Amino acid sequence: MPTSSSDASVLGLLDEDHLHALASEAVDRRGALRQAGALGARVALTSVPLALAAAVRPVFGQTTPPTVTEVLNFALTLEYLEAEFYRQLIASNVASSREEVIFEVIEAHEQAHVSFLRSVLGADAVSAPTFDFTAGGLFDPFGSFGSDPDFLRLAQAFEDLGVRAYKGQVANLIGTDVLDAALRIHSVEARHAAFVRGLRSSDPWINRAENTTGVPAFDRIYNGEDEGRQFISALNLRINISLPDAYDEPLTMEDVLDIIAPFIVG
Amino acid sequence: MPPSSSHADGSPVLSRRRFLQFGGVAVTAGALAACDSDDPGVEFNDEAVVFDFANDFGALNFALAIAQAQGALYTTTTQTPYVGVQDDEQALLSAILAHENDHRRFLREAVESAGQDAIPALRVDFRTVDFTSRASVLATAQQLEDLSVAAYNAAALQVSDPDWLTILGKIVSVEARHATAIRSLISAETPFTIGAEVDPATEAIDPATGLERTRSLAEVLDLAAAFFTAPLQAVNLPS
Repeated sequence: MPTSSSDASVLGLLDEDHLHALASEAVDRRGALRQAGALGARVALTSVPLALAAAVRPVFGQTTPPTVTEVLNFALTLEYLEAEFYRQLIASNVASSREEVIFEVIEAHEQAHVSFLRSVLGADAVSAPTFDFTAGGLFDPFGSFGSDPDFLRLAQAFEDLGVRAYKGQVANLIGTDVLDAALRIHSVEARHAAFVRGLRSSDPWINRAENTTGVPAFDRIYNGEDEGRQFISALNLRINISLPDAYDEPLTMEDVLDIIAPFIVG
Repeated sequence: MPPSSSHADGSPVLSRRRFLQFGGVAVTAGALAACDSDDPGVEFNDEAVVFDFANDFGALNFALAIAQAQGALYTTTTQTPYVGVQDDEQALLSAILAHENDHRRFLREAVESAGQDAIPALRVDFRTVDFTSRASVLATAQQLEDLSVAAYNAAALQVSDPDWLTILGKIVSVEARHATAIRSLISAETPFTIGAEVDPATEAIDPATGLERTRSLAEVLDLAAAFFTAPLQAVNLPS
């Protein structure tokens, strides 16, 4: 997380080198994906452009909750990513015609979310980043076909991530007039997630913390989904649950931004 | 003419025998006991159920009521499957039942461990459901899942504790996943619409805004009331 530009740029260079090395050596793509997973947080953390990071989250170590504007810009960044992903997906014609009909519906939803968030934010809205859905060559979402293509893995990852991302922020919107819309986007992302998971023959929900994308780097999207305890701190209350599949867990803004960072190039 | 409501004997659903006894009209045999208690001696009560939104437990109790209705529907259809049910459909409905049962147990424990009164086990009214019919069962499941999503989204606006709000969020997204799963059984081509026809007026997601269809708390209470024999009442709603 960029507490200073020098730290961030050094890490960024290291990790760009790593990514390029991975991409050039990716004769065996499965091997490359395993390495990407092993790189873990470091790959993900450091390629978020500083301006974007500064706009959408408080500085590292800050303990006060993000402002409403920061939350909405964070959400807008995710919606930019999803809308652009589906736009490129549809333009690429890699999906079957049956899938494409639905992806057009989903793209329209994501684009509407972008428009909505931009209208609320007005002059405070961040600009759309430039996305690279190959993540430096690790994926081939718009050129690959086959029985379990990358575009479906990425779509699943982005939708499941979106659910956790919104869930992680709703508490920061209590008492504001945008909570209603945030909740209504949150449930739409979950509907999308279930649909995309169905295309990949995954259950509509997340079983324990199982990452069914087949991409180790996406383990972080599923880690903690098997949480068996629920806390209500104001009441000093802990309630155990017996079936974690029946509950989706939140992710922090920092974790979400780290996970999408490899797809953002500027 | 079968009774319009079967009195609670603690059995969570019509027994298969009872079901068969009514044959084709069993579908109108009426209200089924919601399975909110493992105690066979549980007493059901058709007095109005009051959800007090003066504190966060109104929302949690309302969520508990919805989970009871869902649990009862899935219990019945898994025990007395509709004609022609496929194994994968039965597995899906059973998995959703397990989720709803856990929501029900969790919400009751949450309310009670906070020292508040949880609503009693409610009798549900599925007189309009033909449990022999795939179309009827799945249409009802879809209504309940969509209602559930709308109910959580509306009730969450009344919650003041951030932890309770997040917990409602943890459940509602799974309800939304259920909704899509049920829709996909009805029609793989229209995973987000209500019914098999693509009609913008009936889509769960407003196509103009990409937002979940708006339902006020009063609206979702009204819709939910159709599934219970007791009237539902909300008090201390913001004006």
